[in-house]
Amino acid sequence: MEIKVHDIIKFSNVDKLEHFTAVPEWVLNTAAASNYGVVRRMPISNKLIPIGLRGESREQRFGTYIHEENIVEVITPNSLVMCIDEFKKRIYYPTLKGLRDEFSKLNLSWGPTGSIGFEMATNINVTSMKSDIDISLYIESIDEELLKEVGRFIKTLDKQIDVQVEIPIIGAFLLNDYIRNYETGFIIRTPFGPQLCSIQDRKIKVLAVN
Amino acid sequence: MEKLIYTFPASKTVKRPSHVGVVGSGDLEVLVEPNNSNETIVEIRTGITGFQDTWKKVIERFVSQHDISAFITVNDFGATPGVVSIRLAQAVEVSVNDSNDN
Repeated sequence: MEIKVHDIIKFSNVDKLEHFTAVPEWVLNTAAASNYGVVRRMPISNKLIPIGLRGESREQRFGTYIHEENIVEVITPNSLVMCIDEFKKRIYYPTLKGLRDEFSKLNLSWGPTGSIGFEMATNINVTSMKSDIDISLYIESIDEELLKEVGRFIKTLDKQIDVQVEIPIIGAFLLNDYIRNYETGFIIRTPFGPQLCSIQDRKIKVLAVN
Repeated sequence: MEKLIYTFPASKTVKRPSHVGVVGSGDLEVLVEPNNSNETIVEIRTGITGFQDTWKKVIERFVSQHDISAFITVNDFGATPGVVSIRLAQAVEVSVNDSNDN
């Protein structure tokens, strides 16, 4: 089973989680937290999947692990693109539809993440009027022209969209950070932590900071 | 919205203001404004409350490594401590650097 960052994991109940630390009280009282977790960016070993549980407020976040065999279902952000039309009444619908149409023209793989992705995957209402629009874009390697084109398109939309660009094995970065700072220093989030990097001669260079 | 302010003694002045980072989920903006008050003043604005202890540790570690007299503003959008530390160090680098590009 291939499990990636931002995938939404369904489990039957909180007892199926690995109990390295005590589960906070709010987890047991929140539907969103007691059956679903979101895969965190961390190395996976011994089939223990690092997941984060989310409560109703932004402070209610709990990092834990689940063994792969206790996972009931894996819902990827990319699979949610097919379900966008089921959310026509939601405030984020026109934005997601616009993204779907444009990215399909560019033949790009993407998906909604954050609270919107969570809501679409679980049918549990967790978004508000103020919810950010977070998406992940999946590409095989850094393509400067393509990323700049996506950046220009995102700017034409009336809402702010946080685009995280995911590249296999390497990690992810924010599209805005890359476009503005790829020569001077942008942050790549890797399974082993964030790294300040720049692009030199079309290659990723890790910059030292202290 | 929570606002946290930390003040530490400092002795070295920095050359220029800087602005690094981005407005976006999981990231932050850092603005450094040089001052002559022999203090590092860090003002953090974050939409995610309840992490004072973590902020305090991250800022203490930062000032233990960088002695700069400056007013530092942090606009946080849910960054992890690792990302915060990188952005702070990056901002100082720009502020102390001799080159004119920012």
